[in-house]
Amino acid sequence: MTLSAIGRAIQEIGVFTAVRESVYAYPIILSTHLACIATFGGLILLTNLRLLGWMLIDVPADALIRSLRPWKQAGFAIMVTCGVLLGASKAEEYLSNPFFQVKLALLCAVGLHGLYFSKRVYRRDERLVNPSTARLAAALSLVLWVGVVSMGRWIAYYDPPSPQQAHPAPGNRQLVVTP
Amino acid sequence: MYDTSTNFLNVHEWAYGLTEVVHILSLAVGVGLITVVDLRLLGIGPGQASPERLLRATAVGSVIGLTLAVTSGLLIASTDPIRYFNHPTMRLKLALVVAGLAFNYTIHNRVVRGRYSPAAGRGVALVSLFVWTTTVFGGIFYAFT
Repeated sequence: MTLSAIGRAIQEIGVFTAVRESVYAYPIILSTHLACIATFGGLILLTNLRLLGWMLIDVPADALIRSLRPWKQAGFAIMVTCGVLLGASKAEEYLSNPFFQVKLALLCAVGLHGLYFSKRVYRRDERLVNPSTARLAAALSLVLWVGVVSMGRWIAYYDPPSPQQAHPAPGNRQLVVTP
Repeated sequence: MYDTSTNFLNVHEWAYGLTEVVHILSLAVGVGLITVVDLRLLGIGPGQASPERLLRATAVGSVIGLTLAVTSGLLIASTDPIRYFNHPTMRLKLALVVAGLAFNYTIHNRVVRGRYSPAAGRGVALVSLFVWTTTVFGGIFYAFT
């Protein structure tokens, strides 16, 4: 089964077809996805700038992280839900898009980052955290998220090699169908 | 007469894309840091830091983010200024940006710094979140309307 066949099977699932073909659902979901980047991104930024020791150093880092965690998780859940709806609705085109592939790889790296640093930094008593490990975790997190957001935007700039399937311009909601 | 075909961003596709990436990232920094203060006004976030303390900590970062967002936004608009300026959704977005900036640096920050009731704080937080969220929606809907 080829990548494009898998993609086609995914995007032909009812809900994803509906998102792709609707006039308003697609931009609403895309806007929500971006609005989450602004809100949820601010929380990630605050956490990491604190771990780097660049702001709020008089506020305990563990208390700060704990108080933001449920809201970060909620923002992340909404952002991922929107992202899945957007990505799956154009899965055939996206799965073979290198920027989309890099974005997925970076998101996997975000997951591994969480697995590795969660117990060492984010969920640990601040007094027991090695400061340089905390700074490393924060710097890596920022780099990964900047990469994820950048790759997300670049998805729209990839021209697939096939001459028949022209890439729709960002904002062009009409799907170009390959004969 | 201004010839858009010589605009750097129109000549180089990578430059256009890169400017859009900068626009989104700086928006996330500028609006994201304002959102942190807004959420704190709504009772979400670190109890150890007051909204005023959070505003002081994030003020420089949000100014840098917003400045970059506005600059990159103007650069993107310079690729086809007449179309951008005549488009009703873009006009609405521009109005929201101007309103958001004016509101943030007058009423919003004054309420955060001053001795106002928690209800006033919640009010400005909701207005702020609403204005910035609708601005993001305006930017996306511009491309779809």
